[in-house]
Amino acid sequence: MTEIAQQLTSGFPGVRKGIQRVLGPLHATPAAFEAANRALWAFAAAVIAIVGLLPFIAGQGEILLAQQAIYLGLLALSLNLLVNTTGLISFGHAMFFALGAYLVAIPFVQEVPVLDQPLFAFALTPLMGAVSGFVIGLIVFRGRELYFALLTLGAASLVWAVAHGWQGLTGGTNGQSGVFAAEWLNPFMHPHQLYWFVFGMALICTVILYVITRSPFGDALRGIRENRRRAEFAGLWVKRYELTAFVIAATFGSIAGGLAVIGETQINSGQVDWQRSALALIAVLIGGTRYFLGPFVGAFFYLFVFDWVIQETVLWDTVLGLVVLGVALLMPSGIVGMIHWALAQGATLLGRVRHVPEAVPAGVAAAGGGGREQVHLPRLDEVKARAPSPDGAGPPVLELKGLTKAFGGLVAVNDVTLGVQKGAIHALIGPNGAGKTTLFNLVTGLMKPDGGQVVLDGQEITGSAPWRLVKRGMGRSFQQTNLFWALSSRENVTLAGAAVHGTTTKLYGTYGEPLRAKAGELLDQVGLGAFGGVAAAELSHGDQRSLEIATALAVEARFLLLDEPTAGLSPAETKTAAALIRKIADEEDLTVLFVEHDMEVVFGIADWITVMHQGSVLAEGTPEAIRENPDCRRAYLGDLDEDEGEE
Amino acid sequence: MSARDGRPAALDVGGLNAFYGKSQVVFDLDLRVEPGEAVAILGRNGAGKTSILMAIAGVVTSRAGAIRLAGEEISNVPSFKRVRKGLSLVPSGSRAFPNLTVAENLALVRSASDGGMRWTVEDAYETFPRLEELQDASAGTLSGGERQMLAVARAMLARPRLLMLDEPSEGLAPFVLKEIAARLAGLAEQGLGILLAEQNHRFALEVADRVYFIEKGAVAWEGAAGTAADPEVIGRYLAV
Amino acid sequence: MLAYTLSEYVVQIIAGLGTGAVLFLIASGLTLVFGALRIINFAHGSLYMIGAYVTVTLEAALGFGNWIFWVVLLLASLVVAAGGVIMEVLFFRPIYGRPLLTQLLVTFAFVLIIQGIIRSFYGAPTRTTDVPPFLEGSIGVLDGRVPKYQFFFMGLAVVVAVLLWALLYRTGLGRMVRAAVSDPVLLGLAGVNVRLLFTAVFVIAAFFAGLGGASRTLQGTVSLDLAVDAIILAFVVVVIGGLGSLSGAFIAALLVGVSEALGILWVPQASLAIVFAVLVVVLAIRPQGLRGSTA
Repeated sequence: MTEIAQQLTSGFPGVRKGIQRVLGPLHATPAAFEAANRALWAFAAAVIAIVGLLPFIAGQGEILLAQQAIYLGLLALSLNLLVNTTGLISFGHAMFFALGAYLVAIPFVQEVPVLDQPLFAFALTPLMGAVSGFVIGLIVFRGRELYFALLTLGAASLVWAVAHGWQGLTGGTNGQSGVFAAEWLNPFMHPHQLYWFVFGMALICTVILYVITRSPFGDALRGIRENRRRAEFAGLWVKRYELTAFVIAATFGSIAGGLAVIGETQINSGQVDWQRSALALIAVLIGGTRYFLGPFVGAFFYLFVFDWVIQETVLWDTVLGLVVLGVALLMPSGIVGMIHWALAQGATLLGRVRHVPEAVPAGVAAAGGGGREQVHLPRLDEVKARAPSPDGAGPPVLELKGLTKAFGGLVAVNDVTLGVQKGAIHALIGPNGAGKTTLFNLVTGLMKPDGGQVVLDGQEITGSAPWRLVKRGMGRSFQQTNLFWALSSRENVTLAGAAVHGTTTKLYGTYGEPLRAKAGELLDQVGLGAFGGVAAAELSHGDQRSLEIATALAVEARFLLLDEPTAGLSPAETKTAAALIRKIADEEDLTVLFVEHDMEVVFGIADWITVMHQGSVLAEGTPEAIRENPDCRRAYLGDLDEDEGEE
Repeated sequence: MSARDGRPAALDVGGLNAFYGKSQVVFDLDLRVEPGEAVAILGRNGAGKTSILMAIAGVVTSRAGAIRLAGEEISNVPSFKRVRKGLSLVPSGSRAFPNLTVAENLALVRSASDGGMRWTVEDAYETFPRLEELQDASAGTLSGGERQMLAVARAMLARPRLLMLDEPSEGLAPFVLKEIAARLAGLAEQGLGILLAEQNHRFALEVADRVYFIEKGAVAWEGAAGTAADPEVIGRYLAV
Repeated sequence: MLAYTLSEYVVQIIAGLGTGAVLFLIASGLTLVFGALRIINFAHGSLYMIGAYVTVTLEAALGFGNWIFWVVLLLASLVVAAGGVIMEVLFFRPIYGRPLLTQLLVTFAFVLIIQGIIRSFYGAPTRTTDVPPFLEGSIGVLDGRVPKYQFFFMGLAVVVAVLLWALLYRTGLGRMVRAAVSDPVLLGLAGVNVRLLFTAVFVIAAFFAGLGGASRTLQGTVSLDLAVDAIILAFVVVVIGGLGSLSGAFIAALLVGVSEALGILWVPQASLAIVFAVLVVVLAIRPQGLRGSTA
């Protein structure tokens, strides 16, 4: 039962128990869903065939409706690249439809030379979409999430206002009509040929969009949807990827508009208003946003069903509203989702009938059974301080010079100067409010300092964006784990590796074998070899931390900044994490700067310690020196001596 | 130090099962806190400690045999009403309302309980003098330790019979922890029942009289704090 | 195109302030609901529209005498507030904390539902009402004349702004609302019935949207386009002002009203263009809105 259905019936436990008793034996396993996937493919192929062969099996009325469903479906499909793949919600997608449509219609009616060939103009609609998508994208991406959605609404209203108001150009509400593309596409003489042209074009566009969705670029978009911050720190210039997705969506939206004019021979402002944008979203929702062909299914459903509903009642928009409400609350995976569920039930029942033992998906099996790989991790007490005192070991690989940052009246970081030696494991400690996390944010590009410089390997990087720093070899982990939650461990690592190598700019194809093999190696290195197929969200806390380290390695960081790497871990997991950091740093010859509260960890693995207090550096030195330092004791360590004794 | 003078237990939980969505995180748990007693639940991260507290507070879905607060059954009572009856939770993370002043933070509390003790804003300022100095300051400008004190003061204003704290030591400097531990001990002496969930066993054992070790959402060991401090016991339940 | 006299400009700007005042009534509720409930309510414009249509019916039945007018305004607002209670309790409660797309689609569904119902009751043609005697006629400003109801709108907006500010900063309820804006779960742990609080906030917002719709009838025709026209502009106001900020909504509403009015003078068919140009400029300089927080 969906969560919302549960909530709605939460006031009626009797009803809920009743429903659960009925549905209980029908509960489909994850394996059944996977099996049903294959059936879905067959289903999709059948539907495409039916739509393609429609002129042979249906009357003129249905053919015209199907044509309209194809334009709406293509618009919705392009919208879904944003909504599902990238996680962006656009309220004004119809604006690109409008631009493509008017590009084909206006030159024909106004008899503009060259462009008055509708088919030629149609060939140019992708360009129109791409350019307008880029320009409008620059504006709408000034906002994030909700603001982005509202800006798209605004931009679309603007486009509509022009279409509606500039009567001389667009014809306003009367629009432009009589746009005949070619003799062989005349809707009165050759309606079937026209239909197949529309169908064929849409099919080509669908295939292209499918390839793009399944490419490394599509993977990168999904990563951005899952966890934007992690994407930044995997080396993806997120804004650029999002803008590219927007441009691609705009391109295909415009193609849909141009196709509509060729098919309908007319366009007017009433066809490109907010309702069209809303319909595209509704088609996506009703069909099922998680399924590639969902938007088409939704478009067909809407047009065929509401063609009938509009004739039956004046309350047709109420009916539509109720349908949307119902789907959003009770059936969030849409029509295709319901079909998938039904197929999975079928598979389960079939399996029960045949008494086939339930197959358990690979990832779960590994995580459940004691397949926990034993990785030799050095015990904390075995580890000795590695490189001797950093003095005289050469210039620091990371230098902070006079960094300052204030928030209003509060000075969080006050003229901090420190250097991290190559190959050192350098701890940054201090009480809450000492400015440690702010300092990290300044170094890793999440905030711009008010003053001072950050120099990495001799080059100034002050204020550089996170993805640029990743390309220079800097990796960062956060206090709260940051992973691509819905992706598996292996996918997390592979995506990070692909991103930093630029493979994710590929709009087609798959990752190469070397990248995948490397991911496997990295997982082994951190002890997660058996958990490659498990979704990141399902790993234990300690394993999630290890996965973060693996992704840091995947981006080939030579320099790691770890923000409280053992926060939230149990004492045992803490020891493991600390030992892992030491081991990896030794094996890969990394330089590590980390913030910690756990003094055992600090004194266990650090070569050098900097103590911060109220935004400034209080003291620096080897662990022994810091332990003896009375200022540090007073400011922070407190009863450390007692604690030391107990262990 | 526990009171055995015929008063009902501050908290008596029997057969608690808690769920996050579909997954069950607490399994058939029994738990008891006497008035004036401080009890700690310890366990690894992910063992279910926070879920237990959230389930008792009513914030997380649960089904229980019984949850009794000072003898009164509350398992079907909505969360905010449990607070008004005298069950206070200080959630993890030193949370406060940053856009309100300290005084406004304290003025928010709604309670109908008396928990056997008088506790007003004056008492809050007396117990935490720093808060009185900061009363017109916006809570967003307070340090972590000050926010935690504010959180405890807020919880106390509900005049609870049972005070629950989720990882109160997280992210706080040792000397702040000492102060908070002292305050909690003082409150327990006045008859308040205290239940705290912790990973930092040193802090917890300083404060608690009795300890439960939790493993995978069920009680694995129960006993006096003194016995719990044995490295072997700790090693078994907090190590791998 | 730009050849207007000073007097014409002044008159138009005052008209813009009037429009902005009505916009504030809608936008204030929208921004409050977002701040506390974290829900972006597409159907808020529909509530405004209900207020307008209910007023049309009440006016037809009771007339717009000087005293009856206030009664009608109050009644219409209460009807919308009651509708708001039903909407919030039955349909919005299940979607708190849900992803943005779900919330937007559910609230948008209500736009459609309400549109159909109103159309079936009132039909597609536009409606008008009379103006109450004390607001009949106009006041001379420079060389032109400004209808009295424009000043009524402005006065109403100021009164509502003061009322809302006092509510938020001088009452216990307001303190709870401000707390809910930052941490509703923590508020529940302080013993506050947060669900009831949410309903209260929604009802207040609905009341003022209804009041806006009721007032709107003075300005001219009432049609089914009201809901969407209003919500788009209200969104612009809320975004410019900063989501969750009442003072931002006030400033932005006046700004948008005047921009639209000037747009009508300069580029009549695309007055909306001027409004969105303002939106783009503001967001380019301050992406969180004039008075929004950078959280």
